[in-house]
Amino acid sequence: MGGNVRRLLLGLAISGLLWTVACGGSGSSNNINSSNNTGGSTNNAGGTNNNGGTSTAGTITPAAITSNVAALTVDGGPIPCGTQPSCGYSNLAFVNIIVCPPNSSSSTATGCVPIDHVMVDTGSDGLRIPSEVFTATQLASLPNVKISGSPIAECIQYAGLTFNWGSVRTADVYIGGSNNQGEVAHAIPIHVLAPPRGVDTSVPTGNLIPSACSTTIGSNEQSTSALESDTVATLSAKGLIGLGPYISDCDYAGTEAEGAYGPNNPCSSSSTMPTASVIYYSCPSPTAGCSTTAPSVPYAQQVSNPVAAFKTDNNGVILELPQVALGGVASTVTGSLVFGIGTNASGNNALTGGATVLAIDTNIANPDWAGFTTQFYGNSYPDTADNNTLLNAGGYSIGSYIDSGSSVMFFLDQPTLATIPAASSIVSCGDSYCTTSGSGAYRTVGPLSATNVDANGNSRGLTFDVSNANSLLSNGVAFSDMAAPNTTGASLNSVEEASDALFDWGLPFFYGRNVYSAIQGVTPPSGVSAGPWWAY
Amino acid sequence: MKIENGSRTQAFVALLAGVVLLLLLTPARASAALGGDVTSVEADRQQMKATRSTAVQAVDSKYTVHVITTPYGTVVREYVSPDGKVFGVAWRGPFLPNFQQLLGDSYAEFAQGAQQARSGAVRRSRNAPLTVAQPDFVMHSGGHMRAYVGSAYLPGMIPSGVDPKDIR
Repeated sequence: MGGNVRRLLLGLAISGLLWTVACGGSGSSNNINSSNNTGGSTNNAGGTNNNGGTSTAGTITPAAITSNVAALTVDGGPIPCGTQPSCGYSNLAFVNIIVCPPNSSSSTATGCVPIDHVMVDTGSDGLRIPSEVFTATQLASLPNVKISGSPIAECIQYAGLTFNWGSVRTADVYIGGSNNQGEVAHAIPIHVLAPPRGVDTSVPTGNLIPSACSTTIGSNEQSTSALESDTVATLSAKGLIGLGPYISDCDYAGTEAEGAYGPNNPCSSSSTMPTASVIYYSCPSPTAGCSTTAPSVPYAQQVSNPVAAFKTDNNGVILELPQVALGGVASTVTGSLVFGIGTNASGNNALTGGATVLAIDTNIANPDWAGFTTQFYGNSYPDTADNNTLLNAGGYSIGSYIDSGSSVMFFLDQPTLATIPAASSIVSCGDSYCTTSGSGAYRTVGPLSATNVDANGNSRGLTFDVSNANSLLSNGVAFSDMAAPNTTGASLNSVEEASDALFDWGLPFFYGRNVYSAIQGVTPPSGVSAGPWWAY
Repeated sequence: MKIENGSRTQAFVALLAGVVLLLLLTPARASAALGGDVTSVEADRQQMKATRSTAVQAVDSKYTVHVITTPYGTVVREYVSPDGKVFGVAWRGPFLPNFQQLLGDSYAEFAQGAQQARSGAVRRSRNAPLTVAQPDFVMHSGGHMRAYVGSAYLPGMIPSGVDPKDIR
């Protein structure tokens, strides 16, 4: 997922910007032609491998707002500065939605709630809304999903060791068009986040959250836990809309489950599950803890990707964000979130513009499972050769990936930077990358070159830049040249821990490119291959 | 890490059978994996309702790897020193493992370290890889929904000659 949360520390401005002009250090070592957005769409379903050339961020024209298109904005988030400490988040993309009671007659029916600043996350699936966004009355009109008579709660854990906790409820979700009602997902399960002392009293909260979820003793009545992320302030958004490449947030559709889970789907078959659940919990009483027996939650009752429930524009999304100049911009960036791929007669969601389809590796035995391999100056992330020395078929790595919910590009760390040109110009500074020399006011290093290669051998290159994060942060709300190391910490000298050996192509990657994300398990229109895949 | 193969297969199989038998005969313990005895691996396996448990001997005999496959698809690897102590654990799969079970006596240190690491990473994505670096406990956690990968180890218990990056 993503929920990424980059706090813009306005006070962090580095005084005395260095206007040093130095070698940007490009020097690509990739043997990829630099053909920018030429030719038609390339969609290799078997046959020869497709070398998709190199994508360079450029001028794009986001699709006009119509029923299957929603405005997509990057504007610093829902909390105005002046109400510190939660104001000012950069590089998060938001949409407006309307949440209604299930099977409402329209988006203006009684109980419907317009919600702004819902963060678009292609790295997860399902809609998650903090309960504080609703009144108690509005929440009461969204019925709890129950299994054997008991409300179920959900726990989503993130690699960054935060978590979302709350009830599963049924709602209609409207989005798109000039009135945010162009598309609708009727009666889908959503996740209502329930912090301590929140509006939602249907499930246990605070210190009654099962420890298998909270992973910490720190979750308490005051919600001071740095790890619980269930409020607008901690999310830096009024909700997360997960529009990733899957229908549900737990099980897979069809046969992919066999590969990832073995013979059991952990969410819909509870019989062999551990006493502590994985995602879903059965919570008979809000004042007692949840059951130690995991509920069996049918696929249709798992929190799900709203797009997959649309009538026709349901096989994926396209994010179309305009180019952002080096150094960032202070004003709102507005683009388009397009629903469906190749589904619309008007052609506004066709797979065009030289985009290359990169399959998401669904074979859990492969090193790049759940993603692809990023080649970067002679090295591969994850490193296939290294992985193949492991006897266990499970391997240890996961693939590199594309994620709009990541606010910056995450890759490598201080030790592994030694492998690229101009390495000495990029250094870890706290939890970001800074540059010590480079072009222009923000000491930009680049363009750097990388190539993403999927499990079928299809490839697509790209170029990107890295500027000095501490200078950028004083300068606005959207940045195409902001990056951060995978591993932070002063004492670390190790290289390529398992969790480090990948690229996370966050929102900076999206500016100036149309980025497609196709959903597994949804039948695509003729001429479009079935998900899961990404294309750019 | 180097892997046993070829001419030593028979010995390996015998060793494997012995270890599995030992594990099956060992009663479950309340205390668990990281920092615990090799017998705690079986406690983990039972707690996780794992469907498989095998052991792989590193070719240089510096440690043994016990592989536990959980019913939810996550594979946990536990690294055991020659004197029978679990000095590292690693995971990879669709869900995070239960840290309270897996980290055993190190859980409190993890919980404190995770809070500190998170608080010190205000400019970092919630789903960005996170490192917890305490004096006696190190964890790397990465990945995203449906695909998590990570490791944890006790620096003071790593056998000499073993690189922490082998724990994965």
